[in-house]
Amino acid sequence: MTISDRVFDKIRKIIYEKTGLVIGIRDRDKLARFLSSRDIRPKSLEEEIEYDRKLLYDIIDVVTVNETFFFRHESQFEVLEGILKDLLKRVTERKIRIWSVGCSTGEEPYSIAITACRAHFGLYGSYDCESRFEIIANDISREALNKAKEAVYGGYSIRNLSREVLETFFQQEAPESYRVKDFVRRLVTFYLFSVTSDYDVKRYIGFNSCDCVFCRNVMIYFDDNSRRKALDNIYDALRSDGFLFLAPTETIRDISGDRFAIAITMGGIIYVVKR
Amino acid sequence: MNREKLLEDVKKLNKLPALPEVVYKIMLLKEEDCSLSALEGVISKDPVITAKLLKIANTVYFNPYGQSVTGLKRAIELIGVRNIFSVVLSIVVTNLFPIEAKTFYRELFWKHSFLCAFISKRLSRFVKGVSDDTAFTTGLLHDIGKLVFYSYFGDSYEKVVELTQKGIPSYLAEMRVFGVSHDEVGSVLLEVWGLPAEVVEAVRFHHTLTDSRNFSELTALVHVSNILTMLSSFSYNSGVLFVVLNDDPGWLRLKDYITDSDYEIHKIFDDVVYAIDIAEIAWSRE
Repeated sequence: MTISDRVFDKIRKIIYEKTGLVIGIRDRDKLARFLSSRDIRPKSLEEEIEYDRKLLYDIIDVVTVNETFFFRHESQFEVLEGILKDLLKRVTERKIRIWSVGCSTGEEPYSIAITACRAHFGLYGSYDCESRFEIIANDISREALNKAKEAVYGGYSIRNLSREVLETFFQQEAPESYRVKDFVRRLVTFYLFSVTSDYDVKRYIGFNSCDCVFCRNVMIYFDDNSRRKALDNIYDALRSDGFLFLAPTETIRDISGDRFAIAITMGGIIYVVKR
Repeated sequence: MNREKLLEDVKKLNKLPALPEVVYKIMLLKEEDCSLSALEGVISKDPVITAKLLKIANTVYFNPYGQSVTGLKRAIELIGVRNIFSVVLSIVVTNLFPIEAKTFYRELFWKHSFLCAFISKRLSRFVKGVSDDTAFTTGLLHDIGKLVFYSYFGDSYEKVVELTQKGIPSYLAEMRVFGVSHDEVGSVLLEVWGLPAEVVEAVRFHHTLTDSRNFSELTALVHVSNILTMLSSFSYNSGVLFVVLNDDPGWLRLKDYITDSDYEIHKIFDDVVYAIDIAEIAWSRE
Protein backbone atom coordinates (compact mmCIF):
# COMPACT_ATOMS: atom_id res chain seq x y z
CA MET A 1 0.00 0.00 0.00
CA THR A 2 1.16 3.55 -0.65
CA ILE A 3 -0.11 6.83 0.73
CA SER A 4 -0.68 9.68 -1.70
CA ASP A 5 0.84 13.09 -1.01
CA ARG A 6 -2.53 14.62 -0.35
CA VAL A 7 -3.55 11.97 2.16
CA PHE A 8 -0.14 11.97 3.86
CA ASP A 9 -0.38 15.75 4.31
CA LYS A 10 -3.79 15.31 5.83
CA ILE A 11 -2.54 12.66 8.29
CA ARG A 12 0.37 14.88 9.22
CA LYS A 13 -2.04 17.70 9.88
CA ILE A 14 -4.25 15.58 12.12
CA ILE A 15 -1.30 14.33 14.15
CA TYR A 16 0.13 17.82 14.38
CA GLU A 17 -3.13 19.29 15.65
CA LYS A 18 -3.60 16.58 18.24
CA THR A 19 -0.03 16.29 19.51
CA GLY A 20 2.17 19.13 18.24
CA LEU A 21 4.40 16.52 16.64
CA VAL A 22 5.69 17.06 13.11
CA ILE A 23 6.16 13.76 11.31
CA GLY A 24 8.69 13.55 8.52
CA ILE A 25 8.54 12.13 5.04
CA ARG A 26 10.58 9.12 6.15
CA ASP A 27 7.72 8.12 8.45
CA ARG A 28 5.52 7.60 5.41
CA ASP A 29 6.56 3.99 4.75
CA LYS A 30 6.26 3.08 8.41
CA LEU A 31 2.80 4.55 8.46
CA ALA A 32 1.77 2.77 5.24
CA ARG A 33 2.93 -0.57 6.67
CA PHE A 34 1.03 0.03 9.87
CA LEU A 35 -2.20 1.01 8.12
CA SER A 36 -2.09 -2.02 5.88
CA SER A 37 -1.53 -4.28 8.91
CA ARG A 38 -4.72 -2.85 10.37
CA ASP A 39 -6.50 -3.00 7.08
CA ILE A 40 -7.26 0.71 7.15
CA ARG A 41 -7.49 2.66 3.91
CA PRO A 42 -5.46 5.88 4.24
CA LYS A 43 -8.29 7.91 2.81
CA SER A 44 -10.68 6.95 5.56
CA LEU A 45 -8.13 7.50 8.34
CA GLU A 46 -9.59 10.76 9.60
CA GLU A 47 -12.97 9.22 10.00
CA GLU A 48 -11.52 6.16 11.74
CA ILE A 49 -9.60 8.34 14.21
CA GLU A 50 -12.76 10.21 15.11
CA TYR A 51 -14.45 6.91 15.64
CA ASP A 52 -11.58 5.14 17.39
CA ARG A 53 -9.46 7.46 19.54
CA LYS A 54 -7.08 4.61 20.35
CA LEU A 55 -5.99 4.48 16.74
CA LEU A 56 -4.36 7.90 17.04
CA TYR A 57 -2.17 6.71 19.92
CA ASP A 58 -1.19 3.63 17.95
CA ILE A 59 -0.08 5.83 15.08
CA ILE A 60 1.93 8.00 17.47
CA ASP A 61 3.67 4.87 18.77
CA VAL A 62 4.63 4.00 15.23
CA VAL A 63 6.14 7.37 14.33
CA THR A 64 7.92 8.40 17.55
CA VAL A 65 11.40 7.15 18.25
CA ASN A 66 11.86 5.83 21.76
CA GLU A 67 15.49 5.11 22.26
CA THR A 68 17.21 6.42 25.34
CA PHE A 69 19.23 5.30 28.35
CA PHE A 70 19.71 5.97 32.05
CA PHE A 71 21.73 9.06 33.02
CA ARG A 72 22.01 10.35 29.49
CA HIS A 73 24.20 13.51 29.66
CA GLU A 74 25.41 12.37 33.04
CA SER A 75 27.00 15.58 34.27
CA GLN A 76 23.58 17.25 34.28
CA PHE A 77 22.50 14.81 36.98
CA GLU A 78 25.48 15.82 39.12
CA VAL A 79 24.26 19.40 38.88
CA LEU A 80 20.71 18.28 39.65
CA GLU A 81 21.89 16.45 42.77
CA GLY A 82 23.45 19.66 44.07
CA ILE A 83 20.31 21.64 43.31
CA LEU A 84 18.09 19.06 45.01
CA LYS A 85 20.28 19.01 48.14
CA ASP A 86 19.94 22.75 48.34
CA LEU A 87 16.16 22.53 47.87
CA LEU A 88 15.87 19.79 50.52
CA LYS A 89 17.44 22.15 53.03
CA ARG A 90 15.19 25.06 52.12
CA VAL A 91 11.85 23.56 51.12
CA THR A 92 10.05 21.78 53.93
CA GLU A 93 6.42 22.88 53.71
CA ARG A 94 5.72 21.21 50.34
CA LYS A 95 7.05 18.53 48.03
CA ILE A 96 9.87 19.33 45.64
CA ARG A 97 8.45 18.87 42.18
CA ILE A 98 10.27 17.86 39.00
CA TRP A 99 8.69 17.41 35.60
CA SER A 100 10.20 15.13 32.97
CA VAL A 101 8.80 16.23 29.59
CA GLY A 102 8.58 13.61 26.84
CA CYS A 103 9.78 10.88 29.18
CA SER A 104 9.48 8.08 26.61
CA THR A 105 10.12 4.67 28.24
CA GLY A 106 10.97 6.16 31.64
CA GLU A 107 14.77 6.19 31.76
CA GLU A 108 14.88 9.95 32.37
CA PRO A 109 12.30 10.25 35.19
CA TYR A 110 13.80 7.23 36.98
CA SER A 111 17.29 8.74 36.61
CA ILE A 112 15.87 11.89 38.22
CA ALA A 113 14.26 9.79 40.96
CA ILE A 114 17.54 7.97 41.69
CA THR A 115 19.30 11.35 41.84
CA ALA A 116 16.66 12.58 44.30
CA CYS A 117 17.22 9.49 46.47
CA ARG A 118 20.97 10.08 46.44
CA ALA A 119 20.57 13.74 47.37
CA HIS A 120 18.33 12.70 50.27
CA PHE A 121 20.76 9.98 51.32
CA GLY A 122 23.63 12.47 51.22
CA LEU A 123 21.88 14.74 53.73
CA TYR A 124 19.86 12.39 55.92
CA GLY A 125 21.37 8.93 55.40
CA SER A 126 18.20 7.35 54.02
CA TYR A 127 16.77 6.78 50.54
CA ASP A 128 13.21 7.03 51.78
CA CYS A 129 12.09 10.39 50.39
CA GLU A 130 8.56 9.91 49.08
CA SER A 131 7.31 12.65 51.36
CA ARG A 132 9.84 15.11 49.93
CA PHE A 133 9.82 14.58 46.16
CA GLU A 134 7.27 14.29 43.41
CA ILE A 135 8.33 13.53 39.84
CA ILE A 136 5.80 13.93 37.07
CA ALA A 137 6.51 12.43 33.67
CA ASN A 138 4.50 12.73 30.48
CA ASP A 139 4.64 11.37 26.97
CA ILE A 140 2.34 11.07 23.99
CA SER A 141 3.17 7.44 23.29
CA ARG A 142 0.99 5.05 25.23
CA GLU A 143 3.22 2.12 24.43
CA ALA A 144 6.28 3.96 25.80
CA LEU A 145 4.39 4.89 28.97
CA ASN A 146 3.33 1.29 29.54
CA LYS A 147 6.93 0.24 29.35
CA ALA A 148 7.87 3.07 31.69
CA LYS A 149 5.32 1.95 34.28
CA GLU A 150 6.59 -1.62 34.06
CA ALA A 151 10.06 -0.27 34.83
CA VAL A 152 11.99 -3.26 33.53
CA TYR A 153 15.20 -2.50 31.65
CA GLY A 154 18.18 -4.20 30.05
CA GLY A 155 20.81 -3.89 27.32
CA TYR A 156 21.28 -0.48 25.77
CA SER A 157 19.28 1.49 28.30
CA ILE A 158 21.30 0.43 31.36
CA ARG A 159 24.74 0.67 29.76
CA ASN A 160 25.65 3.72 31.85
CA LEU A 161 24.84 2.14 35.20
CA SER A 162 27.49 0.96 37.64
CA ARG A 163 27.23 -2.24 39.66
CA GLU A 164 26.60 -0.14 42.73
CA VAL A 165 23.65 1.73 41.18
CA LEU A 166 22.14 -1.48 39.83
CA GLU A 167 22.38 -3.14 43.23
CA THR A 168 20.98 -0.20 45.18
CA PHE A 169 18.14 0.92 42.95
CA PHE A 170 17.25 -2.14 40.84
CA GLN A 171 16.15 -5.68 41.38
CA GLN A 172 17.52 -8.28 39.02
CA GLU A 173 14.71 -10.25 37.36
CA ALA A 174 16.62 -12.22 34.75
CA PRO A 175 20.27 -12.32 33.61
CA GLU A 176 19.93 -9.16 31.50
CA SER A 177 16.83 -7.66 33.00
CA TYR A 178 16.46 -5.27 35.92
CA ARG A 179 13.39 -3.73 37.54
CA VAL A 180 13.50 -0.34 39.25
CA LYS A 181 12.89 -0.84 42.98
CA ASP A 182 9.59 0.23 44.50
CA PHE A 183 10.96 3.06 46.63
CA VAL A 184 12.24 4.73 43.44
CA ARG A 185 9.16 3.97 41.34
CA ARG A 186 6.83 5.46 43.95
CA LEU A 187 8.37 8.89 43.34
CA VAL A 188 7.27 8.99 39.69
CA THR A 189 3.78 9.43 38.23
CA PHE A 190 3.21 8.98 34.49
CA TYR A 191 0.62 10.77 32.38
CA LEU A 192 -0.40 10.53 28.74
CA PHE A 193 -0.45 14.04 27.29
CA SER A 194 1.52 16.45 25.14
CA VAL A 195 3.60 19.35 26.46
CA THR A 196 2.05 21.47 23.73
CA SER A 197 -1.45 21.07 25.16
CA ASP A 198 -2.24 24.05 27.42
CA TYR A 199 -5.25 22.31 28.79
CA ASP A 200 -3.41 19.14 29.84
CA VAL A 201 -0.43 20.98 31.25
CA LYS A 202 -2.69 23.12 33.44
CA ARG A 203 -4.61 20.05 34.49
CA TYR A 204 -1.73 17.69 35.32
CA ILE A 205 1.03 20.13 36.20
CA GLY A 206 -0.58 23.45 37.12
CA PHE A 207 0.90 26.94 37.42
CA ASN A 208 4.07 27.84 39.29
CA SER A 209 4.49 24.38 40.65
CA CYS A 210 7.75 22.86 39.38
CA ASP A 211 11.22 23.37 40.81
CA CYS A 212 12.91 21.74 37.82
CA VAL A 213 11.84 20.75 34.33
CA PHE A 214 13.75 18.37 32.09
CA CYS A 215 12.89 18.80 28.43
CA ARG A 216 15.74 17.14 26.60
CA ASN A 217 15.62 16.01 22.98
CA VAL A 218 11.90 16.74 22.80
CA MET A 219 11.66 20.09 21.04
CA ILE A 220 13.88 18.79 18.24
CA TYR A 221 10.80 16.94 16.97
CA PHE A 222 8.72 20.14 16.97
CA ASP A 223 8.31 22.98 14.52
CA ASP A 224 8.62 26.59 15.70
CA ASN A 225 5.00 26.93 16.60
CA SER A 226 4.99 23.79 18.75
CA ARG A 227 8.32 24.76 20.32
CA ARG A 228 6.84 28.08 21.35
CA LYS A 229 3.77 26.46 22.83
CA ALA A 230 5.87 23.92 24.69
CA LEU A 231 8.13 26.60 26.14
CA ASP A 232 5.16 28.79 27.15
CA ASN A 233 3.68 25.85 29.03
CA ILE A 234 6.99 24.97 30.67
CA TYR A 235 7.50 28.57 31.73
CA ASP A 236 4.04 28.68 33.29
CA ALA A 237 4.67 25.40 35.09
CA LEU A 238 7.98 26.51 36.61
CA ARG A 239 8.26 28.34 39.92
CA SER A 240 10.24 31.56 40.03
CA ASP A 241 13.92 30.57 40.28
CA GLY A 242 12.98 27.20 38.78
CA PHE A 243 15.47 25.41 36.51
CA LEU A 244 15.08 24.17 32.96
CA PHE A 245 17.40 21.48 31.62
CA LEU A 246 17.69 21.05 27.85
CA ALA A 247 19.98 18.66 25.99
CA PRO A 248 23.49 20.19 25.70
CA THR A 249 23.13 20.95 22.01
CA GLU A 250 19.66 22.50 22.22
CA THR A 251 18.91 26.18 22.53
CA ILE A 252 15.78 28.24 23.14
CA ARG A 253 17.31 31.66 22.61
CA ASP A 254 15.14 32.30 19.53
CA ILE A 255 11.91 31.73 21.45
CA SER A 256 12.70 32.40 25.11
CA GLY A 257 12.31 36.18 25.00
CA ASP A 258 13.36 37.62 28.32
CA ARG A 259 11.94 34.81 30.42
CA PHE A 260 15.03 32.71 31.12
CA ALA A 261 18.55 33.55 32.27
CA ILE A 262 21.55 31.45 31.33
CA ALA A 263 23.32 29.71 34.19
CA ILE A 264 26.76 28.19 33.75
CA THR A 265 27.27 24.81 35.43
CA MET A 266 29.61 21.82 35.29
CA GLY A 267 26.86 20.10 33.33
CA GLY A 268 26.79 22.78 30.67
CA ILE A 269 24.29 25.57 30.22
CA ILE A 270 21.00 25.41 32.12
CA TYR A 271 18.22 27.98 32.31
CA VAL A 272 16.81 29.81 35.31
CA VAL A 273 13.37 31.44 35.30
CA LYS A 274 13.46 35.22 35.52
CA ARG A 275 10.44 36.77 37.21
CA MET B 1 55.63 33.45 56.86
CA ASN B 2 53.59 36.61 57.00
CA ARG B 3 51.99 38.55 54.21
CA GLU B 4 54.63 41.32 53.92
CA LYS B 5 57.52 38.86 54.01
CA LEU B 6 55.98 36.76 51.24
CA LEU B 7 55.25 39.73 48.98
CA GLU B 8 58.80 41.04 49.61
CA ASP B 9 60.22 37.63 48.61
CA VAL B 10 58.17 37.57 45.44
CA LYS B 11 59.43 41.02 44.49
CA LYS B 12 63.05 39.83 44.89
CA LEU B 13 62.27 36.56 43.09
CA ASN B 14 63.58 34.64 46.11
CA LYS B 15 62.95 30.96 45.37
CA LEU B 16 61.03 32.00 42.25
CA PRO B 17 62.02 31.59 38.61
CA ALA B 18 62.76 34.45 36.22
CA LEU B 19 61.32 34.38 32.71
CA PRO B 20 63.83 33.00 30.18
CA GLU B 21 65.41 35.28 27.58
CA VAL B 22 63.44 33.87 24.66
CA VAL B 23 60.20 35.33 26.03
CA TYR B 24 61.65 38.83 26.27
CA LYS B 25 63.12 38.51 22.79
CA ILE B 26 59.73 37.64 21.35
CA MET B 27 58.11 40.39 23.43
CA LEU B 28 60.54 42.89 21.85
CA LEU B 29 60.01 41.52 18.34
CA LYS B 30 56.27 41.79 18.88
CA GLU B 31 56.57 45.51 19.53
CA GLU B 32 58.48 45.99 16.28
CA ASP B 33 55.90 44.24 14.14
CA CYS B 34 58.01 41.14 13.74
CA SER B 35 58.60 39.02 10.65
CA LEU B 36 58.18 35.29 10.32
CA SER B 37 61.88 34.64 9.79
CA ALA B 38 62.91 36.85 12.73
CA LEU B 39 60.61 34.78 14.97
CA GLU B 40 61.92 31.56 13.53
CA GLY B 41 65.49 32.70 14.22
CA VAL B 42 64.77 33.34 17.90
CA ILE B 43 62.64 30.27 18.56
CA SER B 44 64.73 27.70 16.66
CA LYS B 45 67.49 28.07 19.27
CA ASP B 46 65.19 26.41 21.79
CA PRO B 47 64.48 22.76 20.86
CA VAL B 48 61.87 22.21 23.61
CA ILE B 49 59.72 25.13 22.48
CA THR B 50 60.19 24.17 18.82
CA ALA B 51 58.98 20.62 19.45
CA LYS B 52 55.91 21.81 21.39
CA LEU B 53 55.01 24.37 18.72
CA LEU B 54 55.11 21.65 16.06
CA LYS B 55 52.78 19.52 18.15
CA ILE B 56 50.36 22.36 18.70
CA ALA B 57 50.43 23.36 15.01
CA ASN B 58 49.36 19.81 14.17
CA THR B 59 46.13 19.97 16.19
CA VAL B 60 42.83 20.14 14.37
CA TYR B 61 42.24 23.67 15.57
CA PHE B 62 45.25 25.16 13.81
CA ASN B 63 45.51 22.57 11.06
CA PRO B 64 41.99 21.50 10.02
CA TYR B 65 43.07 19.79 6.81
CA GLY B 66 45.53 17.55 8.55
CA GLN B 67 48.60 18.10 6.35
CA SER B 68 51.44 17.14 8.61
CA VAL B 69 53.57 20.11 9.71
CA THR B 70 57.27 19.39 10.18
CA GLY B 71 58.96 22.78 9.77
CA LEU B 72 59.03 25.52 12.43
CA LYS B 73 58.30 28.29 9.93
CA ARG B 74 55.12 26.62 8.72
CA ALA B 75 54.14 25.93 12.34
CA ILE B 76 54.48 29.62 13.23
CA GLU B 77 52.46 30.50 10.14
CA LEU B 78 49.62 28.18 11.10
CA ILE B 79 49.51 29.26 14.74
CA GLY B 80 49.74 32.86 13.59
CA VAL B 81 52.48 35.42 14.21
CA ARG B 82 50.14 37.37 16.48
CA ASN B 83 49.54 34.34 18.65
CA ILE B 84 53.10 33.15 18.96
CA PHE B 85 53.93 35.20 22.02
CA SER B 86 51.07 33.85 24.07
CA VAL B 87 51.62 30.26 22.94
CA VAL B 88 55.37 30.37 23.68
CA LEU B 89 54.67 32.04 27.01
CA SER B 90 52.30 29.23 27.90
CA ILE B 91 54.89 26.56 27.06
CA VAL B 92 57.67 28.33 28.94
CA VAL B 93 55.73 29.17 32.09
CA THR B 94 54.46 25.61 32.36
CA ASN B 95 58.01 24.31 32.69
CA LEU B 96 59.20 27.02 35.07
CA PHE B 97 57.75 25.68 38.28
CA PRO B 98 59.00 22.23 39.25
CA ILE B 99 56.37 21.58 41.90
CA GLU B 100 56.39 18.28 43.74
CA ALA B 101 53.47 18.80 46.16
CA LYS B 102 50.99 15.95 46.25
CA THR B 103 47.99 18.26 46.08
CA PHE B 104 49.20 20.00 42.92
CA TYR B 105 47.62 18.69 39.75
CA ARG B 106 49.91 20.05 37.06
CA GLU B 107 47.72 19.00 34.14
CA LEU B 108 44.51 20.33 35.60
CA PHE B 109 46.18 23.61 36.50
CA TRP B 110 47.49 24.28 33.00
CA LYS B 111 44.46 22.97 31.17
CA HIS B 112 42.27 25.22 33.28
CA SER B 113 44.59 28.18 32.64
CA PHE B 114 44.73 27.48 28.93
CA LEU B 115 40.98 27.16 28.64
CA CYS B 116 40.52 30.44 30.47
CA ALA B 117 43.01 32.00 28.03
CA PHE B 118 41.21 30.53 25.05
CA ILE B 119 37.81 31.81 26.17
CA SER B 120 39.26 35.23 27.07
CA LYS B 121 40.65 35.53 23.59
CA ARG B 122 37.36 34.38 22.12
CA LEU B 123 35.43 37.03 24.07
CA SER B 124 37.97 39.77 23.35
CA ARG B 125 36.86 40.03 19.74
CA PHE B 126 33.68 41.71 20.97
CA VAL B 127 35.25 44.10 23.42
CA LYS B 128 36.70 47.30 22.03
CA GLY B 129 40.13 48.19 23.31
CA VAL B 130 41.13 44.69 24.45
CA SER B 131 43.56 42.98 22.09
CA ASP B 132 43.25 39.25 21.64
CA ASP B 133 46.81 38.41 22.65
CA THR B 134 46.58 40.49 25.83
CA ALA B 135 43.35 38.67 26.67
CA PHE B 136 45.00 35.31 26.07
CA THR B 137 48.05 36.15 28.17
CA THR B 138 45.93 37.40 31.06
CA GLY B 139 43.71 34.32 30.99
CA LEU B 140 46.74 32.07 30.91
CA LEU B 141 48.42 33.73 33.89
CA HIS B 142 45.40 34.56 36.03
CA ASP B 143 46.14 31.82 38.59
CA ILE B 144 49.95 32.04 38.51
CA GLY B 145 49.93 33.11 42.16
CA LYS B 146 48.87 29.58 43.09
CA LEU B 147 52.21 28.35 41.76
CA VAL B 148 53.97 30.80 44.06
CA PHE B 149 52.12 29.30 47.02
CA TYR B 150 53.08 25.80 45.93
CA SER B 151 56.71 26.85 45.46
CA TYR B 152 56.88 28.32 48.95
CA PHE B 153 54.60 26.20 51.03
CA GLY B 154 54.48 22.89 49.17
CA ASP B 155 52.37 20.50 51.14
CA SER B 156 50.97 23.05 53.58
CA TYR B 157 48.81 24.33 50.72
CA GLU B 158 46.82 21.21 51.56
CA LYS B 159 44.93 23.26 54.17
CA VAL B 160 43.67 25.54 51.42
CA VAL B 161 42.66 22.56 49.28
CA GLU B 162 40.75 21.12 52.24
CA LEU B 163 38.82 24.37 52.69
CA THR B 164 37.97 24.59 48.99
CA GLN B 165 36.55 21.09 49.15
CA LYS B 166 34.17 22.39 51.81
CA GLY B 167 32.93 24.95 49.28
CA ILE B 168 35.08 27.98 50.16
CA PRO B 169 36.50 29.77 47.10
CA SER B 170 40.28 29.37 46.85
CA TYR B 171 41.16 33.06 47.25
CA LEU B 172 39.18 33.28 50.51
CA ALA B 173 40.70 30.03 51.77
CA GLU B 174 44.19 31.39 51.06
CA MET B 175 43.37 34.61 52.91
CA ARG B 176 42.32 32.53 55.87
CA VAL B 177 45.44 30.32 55.86
CA PHE B 178 48.17 32.74 54.65
CA GLY B 179 46.65 36.21 55.01
CA VAL B 180 47.17 36.85 51.30
CA SER B 181 45.62 35.32 48.19
CA HIS B 182 46.85 34.07 44.80
CA ASP B 183 45.41 36.99 42.83
CA GLU B 184 47.52 39.51 44.72
CA VAL B 185 50.66 37.33 44.86
CA GLY B 186 50.30 36.56 41.15
CA SER B 187 49.99 40.20 40.19
CA VAL B 188 53.15 41.06 42.12
CA LEU B 189 55.10 38.32 40.32
CA LEU B 190 53.85 39.46 36.91
CA GLU B 191 54.87 43.01 37.70
CA VAL B 192 58.39 41.80 38.51
CA TRP B 193 58.42 39.80 35.28
CA GLY B 194 57.64 42.99 33.40
CA LEU B 195 54.22 42.20 31.99
CA PRO B 196 52.00 45.11 30.93
CA ALA B 197 50.22 47.02 33.70
CA GLU B 198 46.74 46.15 32.39
CA VAL B 199 47.55 42.42 32.68
CA VAL B 200 48.86 42.89 36.22
CA GLU B 201 45.70 44.79 37.18
CA ALA B 202 43.32 42.21 35.68
CA VAL B 203 45.08 39.32 37.45
CA ARG B 204 45.00 41.26 40.73
CA PHE B 205 41.21 41.71 40.63
CA HIS B 206 39.94 38.66 38.73
CA HIS B 207 38.03 37.48 41.81
CA THR B 208 37.25 40.79 43.51
CA LEU B 209 36.57 42.86 40.41
CA THR B 210 34.37 45.41 42.08
CA ASP B 211 37.30 46.35 44.39
CA SER B 212 39.26 47.51 41.39
CA ARG B 213 39.22 51.28 41.10
CA ASN B 214 39.01 51.40 37.34
CA PHE B 215 37.37 47.99 36.82
CA SER B 216 38.67 47.46 33.28
CA GLU B 217 37.04 45.41 30.53
CA LEU B 218 40.04 43.09 30.62
CA THR B 219 39.41 42.35 34.30
CA ALA B 220 35.75 41.61 33.58
CA LEU B 221 36.71 39.46 30.62
CA VAL B 222 39.09 37.21 32.54
CA HIS B 223 36.64 36.95 35.43
CA VAL B 224 33.86 35.79 33.11
CA SER B 225 36.16 33.41 31.21
CA ASN B 226 37.12 31.84 34.53
CA ILE B 227 33.40 31.20 35.16
CA LEU B 228 32.92 29.79 31.66
CA THR B 229 35.66 27.20 32.22
CA MET B 230 33.02 25.45 34.34
CA LEU B 231 31.58 24.25 31.04
CA SER B 232 34.53 21.91 30.67
CA SER B 233 36.01 19.30 32.92
CA PHE B 234 39.00 21.60 33.46
CA SER B 235 37.60 23.58 36.27
CA TYR B 236 37.95 23.70 40.04
CA ASN B 237 34.86 22.55 41.80
CA SER B 238 34.71 24.94 44.70
CA GLY B 239 31.20 24.19 45.80
CA VAL B 240 29.65 26.58 43.29
CA LEU B 241 26.77 24.79 41.60
CA PHE B 242 25.94 27.38 39.03
CA VAL B 243 26.50 31.02 38.15
CA VAL B 244 23.61 32.98 36.68
CA LEU B 245 25.41 35.19 34.18
CA ASN B 246 22.98 38.07 34.47
CA ASP B 247 23.74 38.36 38.20
CA ASP B 248 27.49 38.54 37.64
CA PRO B 249 29.10 42.02 37.69
CA GLY B 250 31.74 40.97 35.16
CA TRP B 251 29.16 39.74 32.69
CA LEU B 252 27.06 42.89 33.13
CA ARG B 253 30.16 44.90 32.23
CA LEU B 254 30.68 42.95 28.98
CA LYS B 255 27.16 42.12 27.94
CA ASP B 256 26.44 45.36 26.12
CA TYR B 257 29.37 44.80 23.78
CA ILE B 258 27.93 41.51 22.56
CA THR B 259 24.92 41.78 20.29
CA ASP B 260 23.45 38.33 20.67
CA SER B 261 25.11 37.28 23.90
CA ASP B 262 23.07 34.11 24.51
CA TYR B 263 24.05 32.87 21.08
CA GLU B 264 27.72 33.66 21.61
CA ILE B 265 27.74 31.74 24.91
CA HIS B 266 26.46 28.69 23.04
CA LYS B 267 29.11 29.16 20.36
CA ILE B 268 31.82 29.35 23.00
CA PHE B 269 30.44 26.19 24.54
CA ASP B 270 30.90 24.48 21.14
CA ASP B 271 34.42 25.87 20.68
CA VAL B 272 35.53 24.67 24.08
CA VAL B 273 35.78 21.23 22.49
CA TYR B 274 38.64 22.44 20.27
CA ALA B 275 40.32 24.09 23.18
CA ILE B 276 40.22 20.86 25.16
CA ASP B 277 41.80 19.11 22.20
CA ILE B 278 44.73 21.54 22.15
CA ALA B 279 45.07 21.46 25.92
CA GLU B 280 45.28 17.67 25.93
CA ILE B 281 48.13 17.76 23.41
CA ALA B 282 50.04 20.69 24.80
CA TRP B 283 49.90 19.73 28.47
CA SER B 284 49.59 16.01 28.66
CA ARG B 285 52.57 14.25 30.21
CA GLU B 286 54.89 13.13 27.44
